[in-house]
Order: sequence, then structure tokens, then C-alpha cells
Amino acid sequence: MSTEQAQPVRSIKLAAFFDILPLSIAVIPWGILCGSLAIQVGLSPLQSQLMSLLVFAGAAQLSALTLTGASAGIATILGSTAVISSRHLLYSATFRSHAMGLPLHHKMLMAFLLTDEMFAVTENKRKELGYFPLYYALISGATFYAIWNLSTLAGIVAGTSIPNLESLGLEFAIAATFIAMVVPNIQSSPVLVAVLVSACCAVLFHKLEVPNDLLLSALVGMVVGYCLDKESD
Amino acid sequence: MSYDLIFLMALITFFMRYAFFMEKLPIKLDMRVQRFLSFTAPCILTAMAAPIIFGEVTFNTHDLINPFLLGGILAIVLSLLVKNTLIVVLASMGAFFLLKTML
Repeated sequence: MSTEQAQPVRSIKLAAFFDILPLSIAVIPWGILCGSLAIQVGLSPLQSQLMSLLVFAGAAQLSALTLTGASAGIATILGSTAVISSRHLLYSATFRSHAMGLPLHHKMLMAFLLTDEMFAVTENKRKELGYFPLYYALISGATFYAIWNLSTLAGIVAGTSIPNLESLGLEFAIAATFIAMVVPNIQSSPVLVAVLVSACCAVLFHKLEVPNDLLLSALVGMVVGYCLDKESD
Repeated sequence: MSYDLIFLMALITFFMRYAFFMEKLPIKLDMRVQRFLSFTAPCILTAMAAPIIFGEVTFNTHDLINPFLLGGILAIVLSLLVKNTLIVVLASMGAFFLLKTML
């Protein structure tokens, strides 16, 4: 490979790191919370870290820990894990055509690292470049993985001395990063309408406590956006 | 919580992420499906953020002292003005915590 070709590859790897950095920073408090909560509900330090190392899904981990704290059964915990992580099926489907034909270890690694954050930055980059950047996906995913696990470790070390979650408003950090990912990429009216519909449905379904509200409101927006997109042809 | 439970959880989350990477899966995602799926990122991220920002909207003066709503609107406006994600995130988080302690 000539240096002219190597340069863009290196800059893509750097971009992967710096693009996921703000999203990683926003989850640091959540990682700390995950580690601390795990210790509080009785997991050993090793188990607490293993959860972040293997499960690697913040919302599912926090829900499982809260359920464990409430002495819920195994079926309830696994059920909640499945429901919460079901949105990843959509990410997996979106990346299917890019994963086809890749070596097994790349596919498995890409799947393992496929979080909301990795998906968001990689989708943005893919639309910007016009092709699927595999190394961008893997590096942004790995960066996020490292920061998630280090912040979990910090939480384990801090143990039970972490104040409670609601009073801090940590969820705002997540919302702010997602807004910063979505808003600049609304470049057509179908996407704008799709996003508005998803937002309205999400608030409404959340208020009405509709089960699986997240996936449902995303899908309604996607269908509306797709129909408008077809019409505009 | 047992080690088994952690491994089972890991299996579930990995399956959800790997499911559509299976070559054997008898599903052909044609251009129409691809186009539908191109809405995944904006819609699902919005569906996660919206209840946090707009979940407690009351349509009365209470909204004027809601740090989630005000911080969220600031994040939206900043995202339109600045292309740098880090600046948007840090500035709106700073404003959020400031509002939270002030209001």
C-alpha cells in the first residue's frame, strides 16, 4: 500500500477514536453507577467487572442489577435483558449487507462491539464516506468498550459510596449526546418527519407505559420516513 | 447473581447483535429494506432521547424551570449551529447542571 492510501486509513482510525470520545464521556457516570450498583446488590468485584466485560450493554446491565436488588427471578432478568437489547437486532440488520462476506472473527468482533454509540457514529461515517468503514466501526467500538469497562472498574472500587441516580440527572448526558448525533444529520424532509414522529411517539408511549415503547416508537418513525421517502421519488 | 446468569445475559446481548450477520439466515434485504433501515439511527436515538427531554413537559410555567427541557432545547439549537459533538455535549451538560442547581 502506498503512503497516499495509508494516510486516509490512519485518519479514519483517529476519527473513530475522537468521534466516539464525547459519547464515551457521557457514559462514564453510568459505568461508575453500574460497577457501584453491582457491588451494592451483592455481586463480587469479579462478577461486577465480568458483566461489563461480557454483557457490555449499559441499560440491560442496570436493569438486571436493579432487578437483582429487588430479588427478581432469573427468567425476569433474562426477559428484561432480551427486551432491552432487542433494538440491537435493528442495528444488526442495518449492517447486514456490510457484514456479509467478512471473515468470521471480524463479524463476531463487530457484533460484540455493536452498541448504540458505535452504531450511531459508524452510520454517520458510512453516510459521509459512501462506504462501510470496518476499521472505523471496530476502533470506535473498542474505544467505547475500554472506557465502559474502566468506568465500571472505578465504580467497583468506589463501591457503595455513590449517591443515588435520580438526583443527579445522568440521563441528560445520554440524551444530549444522542441529540448531537441526530440533529446535524437531518438532511431531508423524510428524515425530519421520521425523527419528529419517533419523538412524539416515544414521549406518548413512555407516558402511557406502553411495553417495548422504545422499539415501537422508533419503528413508527421509520415506517413514516420510509413512506415519505418513497413518495418523493 | 450467579456466573451462569451473567453468561446467559452475555449470550442474549451477543445474539441480538450478531443475528443478522449470519450468512445462513434465509433473508435477503433488498434496496427497499435497506432504505427503511437507513432510518434506524435517527429514529432509535431520538426515541431514547425524547422521553428524557420532553417526558415531564406540562405546557405551563413549570416548563420554564425544567432543566431537562431547557438543556435539551439548548442541545438541539447548539447542534444546528456547531458541528462539533463534544462542544455540544459539554456545553449543554454544563448548562443542565447549572440550571439544575439554580432552579
